[in-house]
Amino acid sequence: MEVLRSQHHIGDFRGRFRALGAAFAAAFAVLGLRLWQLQVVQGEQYSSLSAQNSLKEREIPAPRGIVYDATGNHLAEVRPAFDVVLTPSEALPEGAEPELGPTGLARKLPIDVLAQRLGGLLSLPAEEIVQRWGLARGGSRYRPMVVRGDVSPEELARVEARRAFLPGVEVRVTSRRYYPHGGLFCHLIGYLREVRSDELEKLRARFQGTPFGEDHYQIGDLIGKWGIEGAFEKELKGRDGAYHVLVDAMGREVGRSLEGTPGSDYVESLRHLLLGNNRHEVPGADLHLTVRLELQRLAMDLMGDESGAVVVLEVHTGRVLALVNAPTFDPQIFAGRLPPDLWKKLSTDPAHPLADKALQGIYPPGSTFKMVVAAAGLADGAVSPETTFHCNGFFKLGKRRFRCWKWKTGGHGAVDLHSAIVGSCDVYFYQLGRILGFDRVAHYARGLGLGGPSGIGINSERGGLLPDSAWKERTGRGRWQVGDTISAVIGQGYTTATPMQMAVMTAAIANGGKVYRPYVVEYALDAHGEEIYRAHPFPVTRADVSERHLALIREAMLGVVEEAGGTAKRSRIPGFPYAGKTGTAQVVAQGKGGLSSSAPKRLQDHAWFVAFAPYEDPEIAISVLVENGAHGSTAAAPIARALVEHYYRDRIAEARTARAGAAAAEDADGPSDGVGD
Amino acid sequence: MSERRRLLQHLDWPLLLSTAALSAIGLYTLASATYRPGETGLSDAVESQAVFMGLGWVGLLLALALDYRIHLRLAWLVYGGVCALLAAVLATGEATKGAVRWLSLGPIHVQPSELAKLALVIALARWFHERERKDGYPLRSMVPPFLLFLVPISALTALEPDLGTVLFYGFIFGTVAFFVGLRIRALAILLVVGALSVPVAYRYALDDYQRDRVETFLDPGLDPQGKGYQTLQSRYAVGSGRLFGKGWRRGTQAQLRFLPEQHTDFIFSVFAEEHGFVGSVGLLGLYLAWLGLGMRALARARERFGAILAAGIVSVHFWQIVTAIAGVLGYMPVSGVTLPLMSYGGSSLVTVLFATGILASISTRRYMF
Repeated sequence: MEVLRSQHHIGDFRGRFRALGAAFAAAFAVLGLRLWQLQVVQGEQYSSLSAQNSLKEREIPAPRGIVYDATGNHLAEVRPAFDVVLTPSEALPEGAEPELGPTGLARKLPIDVLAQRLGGLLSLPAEEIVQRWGLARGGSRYRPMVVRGDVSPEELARVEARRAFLPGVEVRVTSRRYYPHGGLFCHLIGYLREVRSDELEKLRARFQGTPFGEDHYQIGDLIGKWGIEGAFEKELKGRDGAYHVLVDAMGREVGRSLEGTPGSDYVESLRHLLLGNNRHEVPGADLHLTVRLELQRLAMDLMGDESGAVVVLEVHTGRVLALVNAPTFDPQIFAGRLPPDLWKKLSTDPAHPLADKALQGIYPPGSTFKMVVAAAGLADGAVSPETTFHCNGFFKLGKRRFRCWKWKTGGHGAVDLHSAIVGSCDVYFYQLGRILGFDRVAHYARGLGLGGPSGIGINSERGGLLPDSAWKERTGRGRWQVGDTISAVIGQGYTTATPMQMAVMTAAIANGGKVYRPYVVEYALDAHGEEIYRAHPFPVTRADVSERHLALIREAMLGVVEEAGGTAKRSRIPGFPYAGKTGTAQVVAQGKGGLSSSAPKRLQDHAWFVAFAPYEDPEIAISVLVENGAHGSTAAAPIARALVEHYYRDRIAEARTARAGAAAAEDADGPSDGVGD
Repeated sequence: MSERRRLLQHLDWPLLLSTAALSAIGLYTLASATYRPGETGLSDAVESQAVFMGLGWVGLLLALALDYRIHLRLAWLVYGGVCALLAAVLATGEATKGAVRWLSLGPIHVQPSELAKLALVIALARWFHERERKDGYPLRSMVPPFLLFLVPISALTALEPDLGTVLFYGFIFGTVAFFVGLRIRALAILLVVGALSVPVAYRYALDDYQRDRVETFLDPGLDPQGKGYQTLQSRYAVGSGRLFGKGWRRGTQAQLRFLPEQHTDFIFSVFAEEHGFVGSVGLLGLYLAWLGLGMRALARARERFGAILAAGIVSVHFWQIVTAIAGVLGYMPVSGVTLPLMSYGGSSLVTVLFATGILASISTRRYMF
C-alpha cells in the first residue's frame, strides 16, 4: 500500500501552528485569571458560603437547676433520658424498594417497614410513626424527630441491639425534669410544659439583644409554669450550649466540634471557618428551699383523702416549712403531650387537684378570726380582760336572734375574753363587735396581715377579702348593717382568707405582732456555686396591738388546747404546751337545727385550725384547712397536733423522760419524806 | 535491532513524564473526591480507575511501539467499527427508551463516544492527508469531511439532543480545518454562520431542560436549590479553596457531597478546593505543558498524516480540558465532557492514554525517514 504521497515539511503549517499555540495559551490564561478572581479576589466570600453549607450549629440543652429542701433532699432534679429519634430524610416513602448498602444491609428503608420494626420495639402503633414521619418530612427533614421520648432501659436495649436494622434511627441523650416525690410538692414547685408558639414570640422579643440571645427559647423547649418552676424560671433554666457539626449534603452529621467526638479533628481543621463559637452550656441555678420534706410528707399523709391545705411557717422569719395542698397531681404529665381525658379528669374533679388551695383558696376564716376581734377589742379599749358578757346561747339584735354554737346546751354563761376564745363563744364576740364596729376590727385585721396577699410571690396568690363599710358602699352593696358586723366577727359573711394568710396572722400573734412576708426559696447557687439569690426575713407590717394584749390572746389560745373547756382539748400534747384555735367555715347557710352530720359531704362546713408552738417562745405557726371537714376540732386540729408532735419529737420525748424521772423521784422520795401534796 | 535502539534513544521523555504526572494527579485527586470522612483505604472507584490507568498505559506503550502510520491504513476500519458501536448504543437506547451512553461488554461498560473521539480524528486526518491542497481549502471542500466527522456523533445524540456535544465536535473540526489550511474567507463565513446559528439553535434545537441549563448557567442565583445548584456549589468549592486550598481530603464541598458528580464532571472543582489557586494554576500549567509537548510532537512529524493526526489529537485534548474547566469555573454550561486523565471513567482514560501514545510515537519517529 502506498502510504506517503509526499514528504511533509512542517514549514507548510508553521504559521497556523503558531496561531494555534497562541490560542491555547490565551485560553489557559483566561482560565487562570478566572481562578484568580474566584479564589483570591472572592475567596473569602466563597469560604464563608461554603462553611455555611456544612457547618451547622447544634444546641446542648442546659440541665435545669435542682431544687432542694431545707435538709438537702432533692425535690426536683434532672435525670438523663434517652430519646429514640429518626431523621426523616433517612427513610423512604411507603412501599418503596429498600436501598441496599455495601454490606448488603439496607441503608434506607421505606417508612412503613421501619415503623413496623420500631413500633414493635417501642410498643407504639406503626401508623402513628408513619403519620408523624409524614409531618416531619414536610418541615425540616434533616432534623431528627423524636419517635419516642424518654424510653425505658428495656426499650433502649431493644433498639440498640437492632440499630443495624433500623437505618436512620438514633438514640439521643437528653435530660428530663424529674420530681422524685411525685405530686407531694406539685403546687409549690409547679411544673414545666412546652413553650407555646405565641409565648415564643414574646420570649424572643424579650431576649433579643440580651446576652442570652433571641434563641434563648425555641420551639419544643420546656418552660416553667406555676410554682417555683415559674417564679424562678430565669434562674433555673440556665443557658444552652452550642457546638458545631459538620453535615454532608444530605444533612447527615459526619463530625462534631466537641473534643473526643468522632470527626472532631476534621471539624477542628475547619475551625477558622466556624461562624460562631462553641459555647459551653451553663446549667441552671440550684434552689434551696425552706420547706422540709419530712414535714411536708407527714402533712400530706395526715390529709389522707381529704381536700384542703396545710401551711407551716417559722414565726420569726416567715420561712415556709411546709406548704401542702391536697389532693395532688403528677407534675410530670404537663411536660409531654397531655392526654385530653386526663386533662378533663383533672380539671373537672370536684376536689380541684390543680388548685393551690393554700395560696388561692379563699375561705371564710370562721372562729379563727376571733383572735383578731379580741385583739381589736383590747387594743381599742372596748373591753378589758376582765369584761364579761353573758351567753345564754343567743344574741338578740332587734327582732333577730343570733345563735351561739353552744345554743343547744344553754350557752357559755358568763364569759370574759379568755374563756370566750377558749370556748369559742359567739355571743361574746357579737357583743364586742357591736361595741367596736367592724371598721375598727378591719383596721387591726390588716395589721395582722389579713385583707391582702402575703407576698410569697408564687402562683398568683390571692388575698381574700376584709370587708368594711367603705368597701360595702363602694361595691354597691349598700350601707354596712349591724347584722354584717355580727356575722363578720365570727369569721363568716364577707370575710375570706387563704390558709397562708391565716398562718401569717397566727405567726404574727405568736411573735409579738410582726407580719413577715413568707418565703420558700432560701437561696440559689449558680453553676459555679456562687450565691445569686438569698432571701431575708422581711417584716411587711406590724400589728397595732401591744405585746401585753397579744400575750393575753396567746394565753387564751393555749387554753383552747390545754383547758378542759377548750375546743381542741382532745388535741393537746401532754407535757408540750402549744396554742391554737379551731374554726368552722359555713359552706351553706344553716337552718334552725344546724347542719345535720348526715348531710352530703360537699355541703359540710370547712374545718379550720390555726396553731403556734411551742407556747413559750413560739417558733412555728400552722394553719390547717380541711374542706368539708365539718369541725375544726375533729378534722383539722389533729393534723396540727401531729405536725407539732413530729416537729418537736425530741423535745417532747425529753419532756416525757424528765416527767417520768420526776415522777419516779417523787415515788422514791415520797415514802422517806412522808409528806404528800 | 538498531531501529529499536534508535526508538529508545529518541523516546519523548518529557511527554511521557508529563503524562505520568497527570495520571498520578488524577488518581490522587480521585482518591480524595471519592473519600468519605472516617473511611479508611481507597474507594472502589480509585481501584477501578487504577486498573484502567494500567490498561491505558499498556495501550500508550503499544501505540508508541507501533509505527503510527498503521492508523492511516486502519483508519476506515476503525471508523467503521466505532460507527457500529455507536449504532449499537443507539439501538440499546431505543430499546430501553432512554438515553444510554454505555455498552455492556461482559463486566466492562464501554462508552463508545469516548473511543469515537480518537477514531473520528484518525479518519479526519486520513481524509485531509489524502486531499492536500497547497492553495488552501475552499468552504465547499469542507462539506464531505464535516459530514464524515459529525454524522456518527450527531446520530448518537438523536435520542437525547445534546447541543453541547455537537458544539464540542464542531470546535474540534474547526480547529483541525484551520490547521490543514481552510481559506481565510471560508473561515470568516463559518464563524459568521456559527454565530448566527446560536440563537436559532437555542430556540429550535434545544429542549426545555437544556434551555434551563443555559439560563441557570447565566444566572445560577435564580434557583440555588434546583437547577443552579451544581453551578453554585462548584463556584463555592473553587472559591473557598483560596490561595493554598483546604488540603487533600479536606475539601468540605467535595467530601460532604455538596458538589455533585465530584469524581466526573466536577473533578477539577475538587482539586481547586483542596489545593487552592497555587495548585490549580500549577495544574493548568502542567496541562498547558502537556499540550505543548503534543504540539512539539506535531512539529516533529516527518510527514503530513502524522502532523494532521497530532493536530487532531491535541485539539481534542485542548477542547476537553477547556470545556471541562471552563464549565466548573462558570464560564460555560457544564457539558459532561471529561477532563483528560482526571475524570473518573475507563473509556476516556484509555482513549486519552492511547492517543498520547500516538503522539509519542509520532515524536519518537522523527528521524525515521
